[in-house]
Amino acid sequence: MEKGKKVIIATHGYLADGFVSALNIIVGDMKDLKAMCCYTSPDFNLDNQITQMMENHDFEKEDLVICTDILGGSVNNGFVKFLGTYPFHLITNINLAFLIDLLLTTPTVSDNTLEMKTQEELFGVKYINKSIAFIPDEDDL
Amino acid sequence: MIKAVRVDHRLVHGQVAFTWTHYLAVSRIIVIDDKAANDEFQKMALNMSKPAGVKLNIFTVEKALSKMPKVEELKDTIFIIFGCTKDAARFIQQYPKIKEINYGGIAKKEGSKLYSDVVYLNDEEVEDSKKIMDCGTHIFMQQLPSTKREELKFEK
Repeated sequence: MEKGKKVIIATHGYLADGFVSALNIIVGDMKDLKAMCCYTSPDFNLDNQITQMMENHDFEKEDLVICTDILGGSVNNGFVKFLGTYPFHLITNINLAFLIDLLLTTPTVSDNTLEMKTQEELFGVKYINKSIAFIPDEDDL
Repeated sequence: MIKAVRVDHRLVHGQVAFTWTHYLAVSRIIVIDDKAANDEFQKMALNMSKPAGVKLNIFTVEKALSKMPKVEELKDTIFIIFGCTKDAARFIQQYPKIKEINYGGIAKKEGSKLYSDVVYLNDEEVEDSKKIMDCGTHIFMQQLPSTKREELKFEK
């Protein structure tokens, strides 16, 4: 059997819940997707939460992909510290386009597929007013 | 091959462009909608957001009908999207080869009645639906591959 994957979106505040809410509308309910909303209470302890998450995950059975909101933010920094301890994948500066693609098209993850996906131009920020000139024409039929 | 046919007032949007297209392994989307086909900005928006590796056409009902012999010859896996029941009924009456059609989203409007989570039909749309059924086309309602499929039925 192919190894499955679990995706956890970890962000400052409720952005993670917001991503999950948007994904529920577009993709539908995904049981392998979880939100981790950090610092929403004053006693939030990131290290404890991460340790608990890692200890509860069966890495033999499923790959673990952590998607954080911003490079240089404390959430991503917090996970970086654990990269040497647990074999999870860490991705940052995520957006909805990337998440949809990750959930729909990647049944199993590997270093290679993730590296390719994070370099996709499709997932970048776009200035639509200026890109209008380069819209592809309708296809032949 | 025509893999699936849908009515969706938002045409090609997130659910269609990503989720259904992936689920059905679609290689070409054909939007059949008189209004969209005559609106340059809407066409632009659709062309801009078409999923990677998927071909897209936007036709009026008339144009689509004239293209059908060619469409039937294509090797593509095709997903047809109508923007409204009126265009769907007009098309299917002229091309009664569609086995089933999915009402994926039809907006709420004055005098409309709820038939499924996101499907509202007014009297005109009910009439269109009956015309579609009279062509032997089965109508069901399903928003996403993972949500429930319901059959559309009218009380006699």
